[in-house]
Amino acid sequence: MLIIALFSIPFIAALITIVTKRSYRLIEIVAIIAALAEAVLVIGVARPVQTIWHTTIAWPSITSYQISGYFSFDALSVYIVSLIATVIVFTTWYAIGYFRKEVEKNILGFRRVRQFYALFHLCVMAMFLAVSSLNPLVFWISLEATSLTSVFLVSLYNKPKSTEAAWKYLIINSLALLLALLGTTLLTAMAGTQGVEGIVTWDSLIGAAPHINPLVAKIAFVFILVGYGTKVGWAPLHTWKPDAYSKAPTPLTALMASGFLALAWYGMLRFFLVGNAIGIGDFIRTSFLIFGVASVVLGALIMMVQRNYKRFFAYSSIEHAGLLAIGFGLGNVFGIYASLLHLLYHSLAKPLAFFGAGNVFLKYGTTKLSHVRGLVRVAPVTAGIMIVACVTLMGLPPFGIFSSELTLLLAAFASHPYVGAVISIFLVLSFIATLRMVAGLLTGESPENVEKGEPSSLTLAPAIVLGILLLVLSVWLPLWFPTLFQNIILAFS
Amino acid sequence: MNTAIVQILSVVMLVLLVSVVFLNVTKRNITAVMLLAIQSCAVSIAIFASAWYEQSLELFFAGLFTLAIKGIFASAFFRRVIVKYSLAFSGKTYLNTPLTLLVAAVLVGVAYSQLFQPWYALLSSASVAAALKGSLGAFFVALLLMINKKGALSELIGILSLENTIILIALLLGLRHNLQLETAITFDITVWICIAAVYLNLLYRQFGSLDVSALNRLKE
Repeated sequence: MLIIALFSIPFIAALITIVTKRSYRLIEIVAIIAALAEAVLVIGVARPVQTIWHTTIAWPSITSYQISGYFSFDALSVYIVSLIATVIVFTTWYAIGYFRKEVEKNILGFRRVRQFYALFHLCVMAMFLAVSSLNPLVFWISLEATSLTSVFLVSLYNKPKSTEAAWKYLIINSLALLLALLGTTLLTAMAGTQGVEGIVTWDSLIGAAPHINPLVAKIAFVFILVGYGTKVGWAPLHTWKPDAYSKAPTPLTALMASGFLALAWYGMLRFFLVGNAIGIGDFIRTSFLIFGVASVVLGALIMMVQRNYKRFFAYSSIEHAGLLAIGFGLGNVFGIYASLLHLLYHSLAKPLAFFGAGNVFLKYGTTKLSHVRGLVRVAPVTAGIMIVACVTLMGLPPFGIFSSELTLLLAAFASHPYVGAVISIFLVLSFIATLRMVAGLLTGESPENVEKGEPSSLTLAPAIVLGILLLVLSVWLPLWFPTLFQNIILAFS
Repeated sequence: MNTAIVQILSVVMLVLLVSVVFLNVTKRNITAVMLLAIQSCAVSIAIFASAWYEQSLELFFAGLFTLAIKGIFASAFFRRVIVKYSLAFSGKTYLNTPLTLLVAAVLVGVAYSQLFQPWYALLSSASVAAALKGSLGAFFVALLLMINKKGALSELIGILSLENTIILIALLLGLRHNLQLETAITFDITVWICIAAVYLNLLYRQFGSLDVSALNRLKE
């Protein structure tokens, strides 16, 4: 029942939004109620799963809240859906203030705002479907649906540059997902030859795994890695990311940088579990390390020369997606723990960074770094948000990315010292790049046409609360998380 | 798998392979759309044949959806766009025709190579394996189409061709879904075609052509 409600609420919210005429307030109220209700429902589906962890640790076959063999939650999906639901609440809250300002400036009209919220709700529904899906093909369909619902949002401003970004996003993601579909088809067909009948689930794939030829599975996994790797945004498959992030409206960018990334990474991990059971875990781990190191290197290098702050954060996302992969690629418990921890902090820090970037854009009207100066004097609270976000992304204490990156480095030096050495160097580079970028934004003389004052209290409040949440979770991680991580690690070790 | 079904699927594989090779070299947009319609109809026939063999009403509906959406709707729509914007030719490619054909031949060779041998070895008969090799070859050549052609329309046709080859591969591997899954996939494709259609119009209106090499404003 709770799962059905979780899918129904964003759908109903989308319907109400579509039929609403000329009432911004109604659309906003529906959006915020839907986001809060979804968060409550996610807590609801997480609770029974948590009870099972404490009693039997029956992972991964937890079947509470199952609908017709298609949807269910376990430790990994509960972790991802919790991150997604949290980000949705903050993103919706931020979107209200952000779009009010854009409407005020006549950048957007009612139809565009309504279009944003309606597609946003449908995208949220697709995300919930994907993360709770037991079937790899339903997961694929849902992930494709997230791309299809968000592509119009990338080109919301209807300008040539945003159309270009949306087209690249559509074509590259569609192509990537077709490659992933071919890999999934090969894998599920192999499970079919091993007597798996009816609906193929993640569990039945794992069950059939010992009988699947590892050489054949490797062929399927090449397609899966490239397909879902593109969606994660690993280098060199990342090309859509900077364009889409820089041209999409900021609330969507925040969701893409955290929710979409977590969801695509979740799919990859599901297949990793299957690969592990087949006996090609080493092959997948090596691939993770190659893509991971490539992403960290490329992300850091381009961050050094980047002149657009939204694209800067896109490359930062590529770098952090690489770190997530390296954690699992190392193949030890500390690496997996570091990766899980990193996903948590990155999923909170990146929306914060984009909220700050959105406020800067509302103030200066440009995303070019050379045109944004003196933020401390122009909008001190926004400057504070940018400082907190950048300090977190730089991996400085007391923020959580410090501990996740430190654990990752220690795990890397313990098992793969060369990888540890390479990522240390490039993390220092990205540190310098971020420091230089944020210093440039904060200092100097502000342009004469930019008035002093914060853009709006509604764009500040969600960022401040998110910043506080990030800080609290950095210094005090509730027992819920280590228990959750323990259950996830058990499945991978 | 029944010999007659394997023969039908093998013929469909040939149609697919030949059509994607021609898609790579044709310069006329109308010809490209016609080739897409032919290959989509061929794939629908393959699905109908499997439906008949399996006595599956669900597969029959899947075939009907494929025929309606890709064979008729998508082709008719693309044709309308071509007429509306007078886009008779889309000859621009990164590789010239002889080189394109050479690369296509190499890609088909890769599909027939030892690289995929462990996979083919698992199949029930040599004729299914042969059809699968050809289908995988068609998949790679469709990928080449997407990379090599500079037209937005060619990219869309490339994606739909890739989908067609995946359907054929799934049929050859004996993969069966239920009606809900087939409907969901078809719905996904329908929405994708509608969205792609909107962007074709947007691209033409904002860039004055459907040449994707003109999409270079985001290099910062």
